[in-house]
Amino acid sequence: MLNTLQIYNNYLVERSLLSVMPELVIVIFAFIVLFLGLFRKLPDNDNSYYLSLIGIVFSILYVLMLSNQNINGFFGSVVFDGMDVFVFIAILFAGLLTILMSKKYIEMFNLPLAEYYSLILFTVAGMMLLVSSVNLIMIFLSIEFMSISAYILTGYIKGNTRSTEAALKYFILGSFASAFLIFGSVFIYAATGHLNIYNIHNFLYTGSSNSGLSASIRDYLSIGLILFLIGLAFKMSLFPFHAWTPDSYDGAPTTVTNLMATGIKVAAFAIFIRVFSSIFDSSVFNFYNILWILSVLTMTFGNLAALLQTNIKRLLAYSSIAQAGYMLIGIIGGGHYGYTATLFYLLSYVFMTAGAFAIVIVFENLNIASFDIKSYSGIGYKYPLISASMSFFLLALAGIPVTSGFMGKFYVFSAAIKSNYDWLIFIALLNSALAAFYYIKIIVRMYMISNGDADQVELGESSANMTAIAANITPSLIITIIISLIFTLLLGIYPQMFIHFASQSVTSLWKI
Amino acid sequence: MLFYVFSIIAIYSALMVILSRNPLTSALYLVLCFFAIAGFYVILDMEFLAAMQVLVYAGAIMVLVVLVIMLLNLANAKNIPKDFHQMFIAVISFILLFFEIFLYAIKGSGKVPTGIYTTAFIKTIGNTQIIGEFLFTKYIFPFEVASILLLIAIIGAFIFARRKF
Repeated sequence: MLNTLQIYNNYLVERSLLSVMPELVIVIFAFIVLFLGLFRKLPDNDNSYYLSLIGIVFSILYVLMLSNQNINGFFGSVVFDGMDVFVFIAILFAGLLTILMSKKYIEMFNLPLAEYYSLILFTVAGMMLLVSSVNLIMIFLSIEFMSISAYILTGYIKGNTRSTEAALKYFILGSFASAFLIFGSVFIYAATGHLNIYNIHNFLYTGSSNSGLSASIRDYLSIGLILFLIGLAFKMSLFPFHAWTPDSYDGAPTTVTNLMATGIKVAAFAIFIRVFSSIFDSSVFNFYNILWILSVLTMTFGNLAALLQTNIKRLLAYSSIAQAGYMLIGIIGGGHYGYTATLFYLLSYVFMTAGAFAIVIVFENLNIASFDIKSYSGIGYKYPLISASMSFFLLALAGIPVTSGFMGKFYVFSAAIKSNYDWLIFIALLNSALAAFYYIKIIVRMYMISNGDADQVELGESSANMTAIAANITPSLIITIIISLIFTLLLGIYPQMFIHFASQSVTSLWKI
Repeated sequence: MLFYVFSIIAIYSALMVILSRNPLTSALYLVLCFFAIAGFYVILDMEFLAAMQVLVYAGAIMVLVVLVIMLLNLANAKNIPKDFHQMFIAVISFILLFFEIFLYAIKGSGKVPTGIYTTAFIKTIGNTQIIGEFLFTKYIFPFEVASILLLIAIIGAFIFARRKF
């Protein structure tokens, strides 16, 4: 293949542009989609839908084309390295699946389509910028970029009070968290005098090897880093900072919920790994203890709260909080192996969750079931294929072998055992057992008919005919489910390839 | 010395923004707060930033705030019931944050600007030029990202505000 970097090596602007090419493609397509919405004469068909799919695919192609490069762009604002390649693929898949599943769903609400698709693309671009940024200013700006698009999308269903309420809660708490993040950045800058995280890393490293950092610098830095951690923990929805998650996941359109649960979580964890591995120096403060407590609280709270839920979207929201706790275990385990495990878990999480949400959308489109889990009873016999795949995704989320969820948990836990966190693993295993209970509860609901629901089911059976179903499940939804199924299975039975890919990308973190 | 004057004004006016019952009064205190912060920039030899602070915040944004207060007609908002849980949480977080600022002030030592841009050098070429140079060289990418961010915010405001599609 043509080595593009060699050609542009001497030209600074071109090199910098090359480093943000995948994001740039997405932004350009978002603009095209937006401006096509201006032309009233154009028939209101699927232009924006197909264009945004094309944009995502182009971006994936660019990521693959640049995959071996290591480019520093724009005077140390952004970087394109192996870490970006892996996480970009995960984020772009999250975006792709979200766009695929929103075709029929978003048309039901009679909302402007062009703005919707362009906002989804902008959110994806924001996530990618966040992952590739290596400068404190860029991290703040791209978090805002990603979040503001997500706030708008959360409240996108106009006139729906739940959606508006969710958007408002998300917006207020999100701005609060951003304030923490920027406050932390200020402290870090005051202590070290650098904004680029690699410069900060060098500053800490040379300082601690010469004479040790002075006490005042250490105080500033530990305050700054903890505040920074709080700002990011909000986006990762860890326990004390999770309050927005259930409400905004519940109120948002289901497709947007999927984007928030997969993409934003992946991006937040990826930037946390990047920042944590470079500037969270354990000689300043022992951050592992904080993460340990956060992880245990997040897992336990998420699972206990999920047990009590009767609404499927809220249940998935709490389960995503619990999953964030498991992902954190890999980071606590630390080192090359732990980060690899977390990245693998993130990738498998994207497909599991996207699949589960796609099926929730199928049920929502068909109007056969509300979000209430009770209405799921007996569905297994009427729609065998969909229910079987739903059960598969739920088992994957619970971490049953053969699925990707099992392999993800396996790698994450073994990373922590390598670093002797035995109690953490003990609590995590107890939590997994607890989690399996409420996932399997839904499966049982789908396949068992209790006495009270029997007459209700018969009524449904008489009215359900196959033609109506065929009209309501669009090909794009089926493609979404099939992609998620294939990857969930593939990551579960043949994880070596993906683990290798993830470990290569983690290696690039230390090539400073 | 001037620093303490400005900080007392800033903190007092910021407190009054949240304590005063009349929305218009708090808006006017907000203007005072912005002016005090502009004073900090002048102390730091950043005249350009001070001018921008006054123009953009105290000028443009405050006009919007006052206009919104007028349009909303907030006369009925005075009878909001007090929630003691909120007060409890607020007191705790206030103590924590205050402790942090206290620590910051105690431990902090005066720092002279490091790097090639010393105060004397800045005075010779003027800080407007330095800000401009930085914005269009070293921080060009964050600058561009911020512009796209603003565009998204405009789209959002448009979507939330329009009545019919």
